[in-house]
Amino acid sequence: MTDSERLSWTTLNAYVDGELEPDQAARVAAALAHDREAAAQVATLAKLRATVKAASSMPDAPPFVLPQTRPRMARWLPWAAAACLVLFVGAASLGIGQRQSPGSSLSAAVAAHQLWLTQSPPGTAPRLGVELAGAEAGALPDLSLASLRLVHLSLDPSGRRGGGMLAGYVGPNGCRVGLWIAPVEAALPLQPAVQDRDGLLVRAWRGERASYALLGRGIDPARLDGIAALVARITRDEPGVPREQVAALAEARSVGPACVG
Amino acid sequence: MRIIVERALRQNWERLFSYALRLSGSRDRAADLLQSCATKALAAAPPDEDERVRAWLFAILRNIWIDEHRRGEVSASAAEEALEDEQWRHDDRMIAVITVRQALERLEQPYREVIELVDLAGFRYGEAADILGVPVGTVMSRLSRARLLLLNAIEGGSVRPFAARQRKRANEQ
Repeated sequence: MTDSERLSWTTLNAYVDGELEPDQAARVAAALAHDREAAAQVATLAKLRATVKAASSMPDAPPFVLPQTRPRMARWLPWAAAACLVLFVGAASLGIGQRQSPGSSLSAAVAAHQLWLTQSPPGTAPRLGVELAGAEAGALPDLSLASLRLVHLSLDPSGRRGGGMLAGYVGPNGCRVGLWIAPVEAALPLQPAVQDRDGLLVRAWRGERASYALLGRGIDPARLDGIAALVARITRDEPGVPREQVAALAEARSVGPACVG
Repeated sequence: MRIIVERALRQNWERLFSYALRLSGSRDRAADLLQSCATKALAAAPPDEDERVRAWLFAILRNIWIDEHRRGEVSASAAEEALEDEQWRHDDRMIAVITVRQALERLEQPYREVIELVDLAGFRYGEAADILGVPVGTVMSRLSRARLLLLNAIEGGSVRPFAARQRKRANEQ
């Protein structure tokens, strides 16, 4: 390597940046002792580097907020949900649910929820064998505001009680909350009301297109009320969720005792 | 894995924003870039070696920016010009915070970017090469070219430190 190569501008930059191998750096240092212009360049580079740092103040960054990432839902679940809804709506349109009494539908909801509670814990549930290509996914309420994710779906196996489906949600601590959706029952109130039975906390109401029951075991009643209010709002297609409702959900989550269901 | 990425994001949040700002030139776009970078990083598997996570984050941010804004322009902008074999004529006394700041604004984006990575973010040449997706030799030549352009811009700039201006005037008289 000649002196001119050894002391090229690019090499001097790497020398100032400490990027040369030790032996190469030593040769450059020795050559600089005899080359005033190269030494002046090194001095300039060192000053330039220091001044660039001084001249570039760090801009005010936005607050450190990480994007919320939800646990991944099994890919089959939205399809299965859509398939169940299609089957459910089909059954309802055939008038299967016209014969039932209000109490019997809630009994079916309780039975479906209790059956789910006896099954394997959320996350290890077997894959549902229902898929429907082309169906609209994500038709069930998104309860992520209440820290609940959809993990389970079941149709009323008999269909004799008017048909219905149970969407099972699980919270961050494994708490299970079931949402029962069945044909409209005129006897139910328009707003979620307490219908506890068989050791389960139940909030039931009716909407325009279906009746709903929210079920949980050992869950804080205030938290269940908050979730029911959220579901009622979502199923009525009301835009947005009031800030105070979100705050109430958060408060119930943090204050209430742990769910045992 | 998520904890490692979260910690790296927290530790480099401001510097990543500075880099995003340097790339995009807009605070809003830089903030969007930063959020996209965090989302993508949290969903991906970081490098096994902890010391590579920081450069990995910068590379993610840069790739998002290229995907969104610069597709098709990168190869052209990264073309390296040969360094001119010119007489050394720079005056250290012209190098000051105000002249450097103004000169940095005038640099073309690929040159500002390499200065941001090496001089400000403190990456080694090899790390900067990984982030930029170029060989180490390209980082060396681009950086030395960037500094030469910076010195030229300082010399030719209209803003000069007061003392240097007085000396220059005295020399001219």
